[in-house]
Amino acid sequence: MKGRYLLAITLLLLPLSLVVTSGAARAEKGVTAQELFDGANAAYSRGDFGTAIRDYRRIERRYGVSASLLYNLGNALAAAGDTGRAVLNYERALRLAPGDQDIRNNLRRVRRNAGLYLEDQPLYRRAAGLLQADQWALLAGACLFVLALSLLLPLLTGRIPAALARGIAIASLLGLVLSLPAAVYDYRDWNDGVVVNDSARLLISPFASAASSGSIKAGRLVHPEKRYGDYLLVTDETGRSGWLHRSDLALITDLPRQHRSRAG
Amino acid sequence: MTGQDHRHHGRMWAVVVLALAIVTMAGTAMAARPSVTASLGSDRFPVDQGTMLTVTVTGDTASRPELPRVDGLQFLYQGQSSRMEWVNGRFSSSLSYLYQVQAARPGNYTIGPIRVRVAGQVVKSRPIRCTVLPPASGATGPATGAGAGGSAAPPAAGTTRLRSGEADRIGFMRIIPKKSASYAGELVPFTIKAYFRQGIRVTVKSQPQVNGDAFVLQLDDQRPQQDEEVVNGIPYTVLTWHGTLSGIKAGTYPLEVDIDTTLLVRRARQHPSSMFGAPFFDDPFFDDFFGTLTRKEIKLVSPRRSLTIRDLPTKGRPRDFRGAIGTFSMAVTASPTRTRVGDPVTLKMRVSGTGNFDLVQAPVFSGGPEWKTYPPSEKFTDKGNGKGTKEFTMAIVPTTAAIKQIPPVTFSYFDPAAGRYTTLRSEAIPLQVTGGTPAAPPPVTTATPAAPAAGRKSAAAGATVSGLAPIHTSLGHLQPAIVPLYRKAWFLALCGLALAMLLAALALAIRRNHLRKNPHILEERRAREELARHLLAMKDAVERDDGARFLETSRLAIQDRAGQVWHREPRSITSADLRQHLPADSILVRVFTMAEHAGYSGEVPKGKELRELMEKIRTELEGLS
Repeated sequence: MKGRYLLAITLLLLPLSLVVTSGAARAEKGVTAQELFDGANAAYSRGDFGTAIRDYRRIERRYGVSASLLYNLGNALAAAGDTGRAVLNYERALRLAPGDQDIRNNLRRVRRNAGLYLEDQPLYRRAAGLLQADQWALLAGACLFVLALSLLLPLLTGRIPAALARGIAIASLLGLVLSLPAAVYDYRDWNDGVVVNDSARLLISPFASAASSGSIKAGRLVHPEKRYGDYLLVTDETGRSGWLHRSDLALITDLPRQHRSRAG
Repeated sequence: MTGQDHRHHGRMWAVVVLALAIVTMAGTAMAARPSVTASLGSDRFPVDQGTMLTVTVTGDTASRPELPRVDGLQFLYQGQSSRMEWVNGRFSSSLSYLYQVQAARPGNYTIGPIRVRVAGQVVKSRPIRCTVLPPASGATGPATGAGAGGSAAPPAAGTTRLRSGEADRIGFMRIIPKKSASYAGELVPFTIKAYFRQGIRVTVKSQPQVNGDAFVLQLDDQRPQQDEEVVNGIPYTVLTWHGTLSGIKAGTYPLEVDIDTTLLVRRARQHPSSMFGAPFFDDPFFDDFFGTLTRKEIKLVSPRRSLTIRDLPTKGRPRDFRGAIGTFSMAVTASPTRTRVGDPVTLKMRVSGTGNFDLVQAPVFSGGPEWKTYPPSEKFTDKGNGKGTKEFTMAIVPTTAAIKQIPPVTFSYFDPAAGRYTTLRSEAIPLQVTGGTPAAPPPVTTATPAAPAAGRKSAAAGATVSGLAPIHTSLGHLQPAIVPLYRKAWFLALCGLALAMLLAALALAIRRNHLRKNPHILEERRAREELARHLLAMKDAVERDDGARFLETSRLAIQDRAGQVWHREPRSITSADLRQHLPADSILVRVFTMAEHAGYSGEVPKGKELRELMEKIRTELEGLS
């Protein structure tokens, strides 16, 4: 009898202890990451951008990324004069927090300071740029859900006025028709690259000895088309294309490899 | 000249014309018949080289030539080519078979006659003679070793350097610059040609390279043109590259180019046919498998030429000269031409022409401090042979509304043809600037951030200086990767749910539409439900032994069921209708009549009779059709 009680208690306590342990680990991890983050913020505030960048990157490698971390890292890089990587981290931050106005403003400002202006964009590109890809996708998903509800509920209940249901259905369908193509269009650029090398040059073929077809500024967004060896055929925001060495650009969603080790 | 001489000449001309006519007629007659001719590329060739044998069959379709067995010679089939002609209404065709001839040892040989079966008859060529010479003391080594009486040397290791003229057995190369004198940095167009003797198997391993460090060579295309040329009666495969070269420093320097190749040298195979007489193994196909092929690295070098490089003159050199040499033109555009203070204007400067575009840099913008400018980006479109267009895009920002025009830009270059510097100057472009935000923000690098304050954001002084929004103080939720929304589980579940609801709505709508189009389905269902209700009431009446209620309920049940089956209004159905449609002994007619009579007679069934009636009515109602 006693043995059964002991077994039952053990079975109950085992998952409980696992939950408590993992929670504690999470809390410890959170505290450590936050402490590092605070230290990096303090370094940034002192004007010690090198230390701030190093600590932000340490968090990135150990614990992963958040919009705030990437945004602060972008600020530190911008303050240190590394326009290319600043733009890269702002873009990454925008992928995680597409509605954050701080990120948008700082990205716009850094690009502007570096002379990374865009010429007049066609209307559809400007329209698609009103929201980020995730925002368009969320809008499309919400419209789809509302559309489904507006069609199903009147059939099930019969109490919702047909005109009201029809109006909601048409509006949500319109929203879906507008937001879905915009989301698809924006997702094409989801994993674009950012030129991070100040002396990057576009080449006419994927070889080190190839002639250059022009320079490209650090911070320019480029869309990779295909790869050959260490070179990527890219098209930049202004429509220019050429081959770039892999080390001259960084892909937005290609984060540095994460090290789970607690050392260092 | 005397009259006798004239007569003599006239007679001679007559003889010549007659002879030509006879030859032509004979030729025409011959052309009408099938014929076979054989010819060698060279009737004297070294044992280590070989030559080409061409067997041409004219007149009709033919089988493949039967080559004679010649001791010491080997014929390797290389392919065939056909030719058709339509001359003065006469059609003729010929087919040529090509063979590479390789000798096992020096000596005099006779090939032929070569037999070809044409339209059922055998046609022979005339025999041809050739002389095979001992191997030359070339770098390639002998091509045949096994049958060379032990004189064959193994192929030399490493690369053999062959200057043109020494290597005519393999090929030669040339560089032909357009000029023999140029300025340092000036692009001089050139053509490089590499000639390889046909029938020799060569792999080109590199692009042409210039020797020495006095020149920089740039090829227009990595892949050369390939043609065929005959030089001194010998056919060659020619690779041609075009490009430009430029001298680096002043002086007279030798110019030579080379190219790395691999020569495939064949060693003749000992044919088992000599032992077994099996022609099967004489097929050159087997040579590729069983014959010995050795590779030899060869570097072909062009004859040495010299090129004189001069320094650019210092006299008259413009201050904005950046090294461009050639002939250029410039076009400048700006957009927009109506802007606000602080907003950028894109200045596009296009430099086109011929010259050293590597050193062509952006034209100089002569705007003063009222302009904020950014380094231009450039895009080069290469049109080959030093021609091209370089487009510079530059962002310029007016910082005051007083600006009325975009000032001219200048571009200076050295014109080697004229021997002097030239400066191009654009026109000023009118610009309308309206007041707005003041000057562009100062660079971010001047940020002076402040200590983070409590709350989400710090009150960073950096924000006030650089214009950057302050840093965040809350770390937020950390995640290992940046994942798009459409790959997140909750979003996929939401979309899945929405789609399921859409499908459900669709199914419901289809069902509704189906019922609307088929109202009898609903009516039948309603009737079935009504009948079930009546039967339930009848059962209840039976259990209560209430005969009157049983009869009344039965009458209603009969009317409903009969109305449904006969498509009539149920309550209009009378006992007369039942008698008309049902057999006379039908229980339904009997019960219906009992129900009508019970109203005034008061006679109703009771007890066991009720239960029996109940079962019979149920059976008959359900079977009514």
